[in-house]
Amino acid sequence: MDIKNNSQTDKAKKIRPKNLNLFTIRMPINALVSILHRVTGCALFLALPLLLLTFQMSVSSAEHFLTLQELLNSPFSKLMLLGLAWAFFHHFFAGIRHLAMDVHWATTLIKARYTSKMVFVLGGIATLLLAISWFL
Amino acid sequence: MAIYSVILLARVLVCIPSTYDAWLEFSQPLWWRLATWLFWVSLSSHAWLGVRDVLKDYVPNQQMRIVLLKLVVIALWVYMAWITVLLWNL
Repeated sequence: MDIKNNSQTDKAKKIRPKNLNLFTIRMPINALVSILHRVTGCALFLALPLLLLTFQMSVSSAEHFLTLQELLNSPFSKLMLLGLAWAFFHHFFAGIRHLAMDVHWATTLIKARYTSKMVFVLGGIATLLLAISWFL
Repeated sequence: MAIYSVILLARVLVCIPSTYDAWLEFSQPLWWRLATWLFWVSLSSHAWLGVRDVLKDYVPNQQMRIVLLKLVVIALWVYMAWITVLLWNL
């Protein structure tokens, strides 16, 4: 059996082409849904302590509740919350899409592209409805 | 977790708790606190799997990755203890 010369394999590894410029990598819609599912998951994870703090503050006393209400009613916080809400909605719908594919539903390329579009549409509509209810 | 979110949404839409008393009334029922607690249990394992995968993919240095994973575990246990105390004292 041939034992490969280590320096040969090292050289081979070194000359492999590498492209990490994200802006030149093609991102089909399924890939976009997938990476956003991961990104929104991380964002939501980082928001967990904030969520817990908010809940704690909201139930601790009536004065805290009022302070919280005023804080959250400012347009700036509403905007931030909308961003977080979209993150949740996208993660939610992309997750359901994952579950559907796990039971072998809509696994062909055309159907998968369709469900990806649905994820964006539903996420957008949910966020839009929230925005309307908050700003109008 | 999906079902809990839908129920949460439905409950809030039916009557939006806009005062402190209404909010307490909304949050206190035992069945709701149990459901919330179970939601957080699922959330912990769900978040763990997700973040573990992310760290596995993007942190090649094994020592660093192990440290980060341990931090995540600790954080999730802290959240679990936190929500348990909050719901218990409601």
